Amino acid sequence: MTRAEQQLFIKSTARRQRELAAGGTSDLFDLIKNAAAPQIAAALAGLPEQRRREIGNDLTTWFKQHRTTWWTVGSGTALAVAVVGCLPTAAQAATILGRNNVNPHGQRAATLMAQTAEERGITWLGDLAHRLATKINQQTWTERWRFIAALLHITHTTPPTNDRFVELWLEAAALPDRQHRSRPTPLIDRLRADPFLTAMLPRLFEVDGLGTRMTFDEITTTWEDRQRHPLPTALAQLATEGTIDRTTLIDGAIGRLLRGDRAAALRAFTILLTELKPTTAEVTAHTTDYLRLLTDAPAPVATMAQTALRDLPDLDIETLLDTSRDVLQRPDKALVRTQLTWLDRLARQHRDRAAEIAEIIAIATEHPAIELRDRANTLATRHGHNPATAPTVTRPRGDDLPPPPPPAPAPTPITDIDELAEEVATLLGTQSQGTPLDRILDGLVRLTTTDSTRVHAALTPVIERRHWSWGNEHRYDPLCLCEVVVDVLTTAGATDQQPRRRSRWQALLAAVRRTDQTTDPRVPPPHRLLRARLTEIGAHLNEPGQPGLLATPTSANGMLDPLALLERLTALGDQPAWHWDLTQALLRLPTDTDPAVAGKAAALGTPAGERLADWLRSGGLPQPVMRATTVTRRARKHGNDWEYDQLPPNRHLVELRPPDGYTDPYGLLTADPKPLGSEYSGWVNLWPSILPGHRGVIAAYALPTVAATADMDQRDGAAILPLLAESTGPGGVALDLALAYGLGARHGADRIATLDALLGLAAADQLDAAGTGEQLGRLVTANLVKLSRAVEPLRDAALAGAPLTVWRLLAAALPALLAAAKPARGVPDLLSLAAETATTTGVRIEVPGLGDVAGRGGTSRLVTEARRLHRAIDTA
Amino acid sequence: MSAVQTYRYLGSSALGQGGLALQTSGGPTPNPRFFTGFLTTPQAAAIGLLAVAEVARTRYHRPVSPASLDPVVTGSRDRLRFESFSGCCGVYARLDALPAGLDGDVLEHGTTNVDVNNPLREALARVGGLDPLHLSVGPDDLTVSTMDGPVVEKKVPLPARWLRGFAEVQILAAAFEPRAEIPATEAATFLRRLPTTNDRTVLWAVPAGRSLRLTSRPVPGAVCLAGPSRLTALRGMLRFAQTLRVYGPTIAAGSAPAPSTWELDTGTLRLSLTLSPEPYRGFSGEGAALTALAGDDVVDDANLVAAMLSWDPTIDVDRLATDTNLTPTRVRAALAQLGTAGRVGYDVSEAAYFHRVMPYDASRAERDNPRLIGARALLDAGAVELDGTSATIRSGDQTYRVRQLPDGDLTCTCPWWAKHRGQRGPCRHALATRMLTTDRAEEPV
Repeated sequence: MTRAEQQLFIKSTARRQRELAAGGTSDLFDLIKNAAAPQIAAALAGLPEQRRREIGNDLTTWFKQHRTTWWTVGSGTALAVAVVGCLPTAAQAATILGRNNVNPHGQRAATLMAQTAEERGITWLGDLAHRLATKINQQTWTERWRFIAALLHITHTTPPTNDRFVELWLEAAALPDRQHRSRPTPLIDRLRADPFLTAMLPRLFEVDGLGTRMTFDEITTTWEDRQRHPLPTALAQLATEGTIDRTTLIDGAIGRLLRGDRAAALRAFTILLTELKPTTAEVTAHTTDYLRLLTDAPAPVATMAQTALRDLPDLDIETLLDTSRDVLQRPDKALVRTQLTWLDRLARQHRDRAAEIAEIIAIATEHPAIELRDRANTLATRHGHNPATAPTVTRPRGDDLPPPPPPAPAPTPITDIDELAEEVATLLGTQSQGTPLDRILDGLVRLTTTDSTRVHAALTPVIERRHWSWGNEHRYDPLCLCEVVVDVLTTAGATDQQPRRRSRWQALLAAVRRTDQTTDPRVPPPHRLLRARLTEIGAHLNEPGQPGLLATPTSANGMLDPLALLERLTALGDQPAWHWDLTQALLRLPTDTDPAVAGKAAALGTPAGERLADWLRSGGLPQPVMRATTVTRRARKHGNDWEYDQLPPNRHLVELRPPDGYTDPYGLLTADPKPLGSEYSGWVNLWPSILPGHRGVIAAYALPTVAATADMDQRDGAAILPLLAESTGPGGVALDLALAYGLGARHGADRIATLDALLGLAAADQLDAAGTGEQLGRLVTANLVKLSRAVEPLRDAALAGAPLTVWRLLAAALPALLAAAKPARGVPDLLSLAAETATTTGVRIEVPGLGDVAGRGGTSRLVTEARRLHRAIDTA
Repeated sequence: MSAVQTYRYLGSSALGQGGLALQTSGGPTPNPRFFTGFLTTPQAAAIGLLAVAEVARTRYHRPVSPASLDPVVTGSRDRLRFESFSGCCGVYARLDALPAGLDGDVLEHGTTNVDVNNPLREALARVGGLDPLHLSVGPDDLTVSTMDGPVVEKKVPLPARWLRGFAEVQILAAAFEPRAEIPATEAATFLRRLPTTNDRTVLWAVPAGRSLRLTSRPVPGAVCLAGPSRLTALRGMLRFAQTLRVYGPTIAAGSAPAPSTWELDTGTLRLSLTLSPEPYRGFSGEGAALTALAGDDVVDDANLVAAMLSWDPTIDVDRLATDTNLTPTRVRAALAQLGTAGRVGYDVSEAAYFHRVMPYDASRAERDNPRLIGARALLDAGAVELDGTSATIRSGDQTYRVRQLPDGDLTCTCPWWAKHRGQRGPCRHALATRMLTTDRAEEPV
């Protein structure tokens, strides 16, 4: 403690009063800083008004120097007392106390301020409270609101009712002030004592989105022991007690529900209305409103309205039938089912109007949900409605998909240095997300050879302006190529530090060669190849006379025309071809190359030509042998292992092995499944163009990423699937698994990407529907994929013109699903989709195990739908 | 430079025994009266009005505080158009009450604000039955003459970007073509399945069978659907609609996100929502009109054309061309220019502009576009150096290259252009280059 600080307490009030009266500010500012509010109040007592004003001026000046200080509860209170004691007007006081960083302690500050004001004899404290209350904004927090509220209360000022004030009132109600760490007063008792309740109440129904803040939980003792939505409950209770007006609540809530809001915000009002339990008279008074809610409001609100209306004794049948017309067309199944039951009851009560009612019931025979169609049919027939619809006879049809477009040509090469700079700016302008690199690299090599100085001049500023994410290599991402890509671009045309650059690139290239076979286990071989190519380009970039890269694809999917490669090799002449560049070029060749090309390549007489000829004659890279395996989760680590909890118990992945007699020089066909937790980011999307003829190989490498969309709720992992659909080559079990996982992805965009792939493959007749279905069945039975997610994309696929593919897929998935002890959620939906597609296509596929389920007794949905499918297969 | 809009209504809009009385403020007179007569399909019209009002009070991106601007209504010769623009500047809504939907007299032409308040919204939600509903837009003579009712005055911020965006939508929509038309049942299934929560994904919709199908990548014929939850305002209208029509610009494989219009048609009413290319992108920054504004040649044409507009429900470009002795191309450019000033709107289903003068002072908004200001500053600083078809721009310690493509468009190496690739109009460097080239071309004459 410094001497000055000691003096603070030593100085007596009498001495301070004497000093203040004589002139100057004594140790007033120290007192404020040290949160000594009572001492300030005492020191100012009895001071003449003239002196107060002088001190007030000093205080304002002093405060300006401390404007950015965070005023704590203590110092804020002291400041508030000094302000009330010295400043001349409410307006001036508000300029200091109106700042969001001044947070006096609510009740204590208000009391001290009131005492000081009384002692000084000023009357503008209420005005000050009002001014502070109107200055409330989005940045004002609850503690500050408490202070203003206390001040309003103590001065008997009417509180403002702007949106933010109401919001803060609600927040303060949700978070009680736990000063004494005792058990907090229950919300209802606090509301009873709340001076603002009457003023705030009507506004609760008017402020948009406020409902979301009204459904907080009250936690009394422990986190688990909580009272759900205490606010609506308490309001209903207070209305019963008569503390607040019941009509206000009912009218307000119904009005809010009618006006609508986000579904989450309406929940509070639905609860409130349910808790209020409106009497028959009250519901009758609002019949029109309830009917409107039943037709238009979100499902929970409509259900509430339905319940209330069903209990009405004398609802006009005409009106009800009118409303039912719209209700029966709603997509919400439960609502429609109840409405049907209600209409059924009505028809039985009013025999004379049964036919009319049956006609309305018949509207639901068009409902998208098949079980509701059935129900409506039964009820309509029961009450005498004869559906005039003859059983529609449709000609069985198979898939009707437009033929896949021919592979798109690769974009035209870059010829202009400014264009190169733009492309580089685009690449580096946003977060690295797997934009294809081939076109830029090709342009870079060609243009650097011809005009390295200009390339360097054009690229330098662009590289300088790059997005921060391209700053360095990201260690958390083993695939990250940011640094090496930027290095390649920087090296182009660089004249400084040449020996250093050269030796660095050579060292990197040597490292690639050295770790040719055994490398970082996390990086799959196609990605290693990409890195090797980049390194090689960096090492040779500034060499003169380079006609461009050999491996640049001629198709958008990565394929390279053999004749184009032959041309490039011819242009290369006697110059040695770059090893990795040529390797990549060979991997991009199609498998069905004309043998004459091999002859022409050999005729070039260069080592590269020889290599091409050999490659073509040997048939290129063979397809691997695939085997599906299961990878299980690692053991739990000691302590808090949050990562472990994110991992699925196991995952179905694929192991790759080269076919017998192939040595696999680049390791591309040898891969063990990756352990869980090694999923990749956007760079994965570059892989399909590295091996465009080996769809299955890439699918196997990308499988962890795709699987994570389903079993770890990750985003965007399925974006690779449409790219794979554009590749060629057999997909094998890896593709089947990838599609099955993609169908069960957590996020809609991923499921849509899977659907795109599914349709693309089906159109090209390259989809193994049965294989995909089988894997889906297996994954769902093992509890690794949620079936309910897969129903929607499959239904879309059937609608988009692939009913036969979907039926084949489902027929293969169902045996495993039906055999499970406890059928997964969504199996009935799948069965009804299967029945639909089976009927549409008229193709008969036996589903083992279906007969058993269909033969079971009872009327559960599973059995009903199984019977339907059974019938559909029989008629097919 | 955010201004404040003051609405001064002679009373609150209300739905009572006398029918629906909408109060107006601003436009041709302080409280104009446009229409009195009947709505032939009251329930659908009420739901449509609610949808327009909902867009006006919503911020779809970062919904911190609700927006508070009122919708505007335009009385053309034979129809009423209610328009609104969301607080986030990303959604534009319009309800067209077609001649079949109205039975009454259009008393005056013009555009004005309409008051929409909470009791009115509740009352509109309650509208039922099939009997025509009386509608009056504007105060009746009694209200005007007595003036004893309480005047409703509202002061709300009027951000420049909101004004700019409102005008910009019209220019963008002028490039739209119909892409799909699907029946009501399929439309309902499609729209109801879209997520309702705040979703920022960019998807694409392609016609598939009788319905639409979502796809993850742009393909020819697709329509961009960015932030699907922004279409929720259409849901109420689904019950009354006969068809859903979708409009959008031409899309090719690999296209960037694009704006789109979704329109429900009930036969008597048309409710359409136009969505910005991405939820975070307001229309204000789309820069569709910047190139036209960089030069002054269109302004004279625009003034000439503006004098000829006469509150036609749709503007006939050919007739205007004959009347003004301009080529149709120049008339279209002039109309685009008028669009930026909020003096015409664009109706995608009629594929035509319509006369509408926004009841705000909108003329400055586009001229004060930050990019235009930036471009002028670059020119003043002499930062642009032309060499043939390219230019080098030195701004601060940075160097940018602007290049002219064979089709006349300009590209740049700045981060802004790299991010949007011309999707949001030219960057300031390209604009400055364009201005300088135009100046140079004019000088020798």
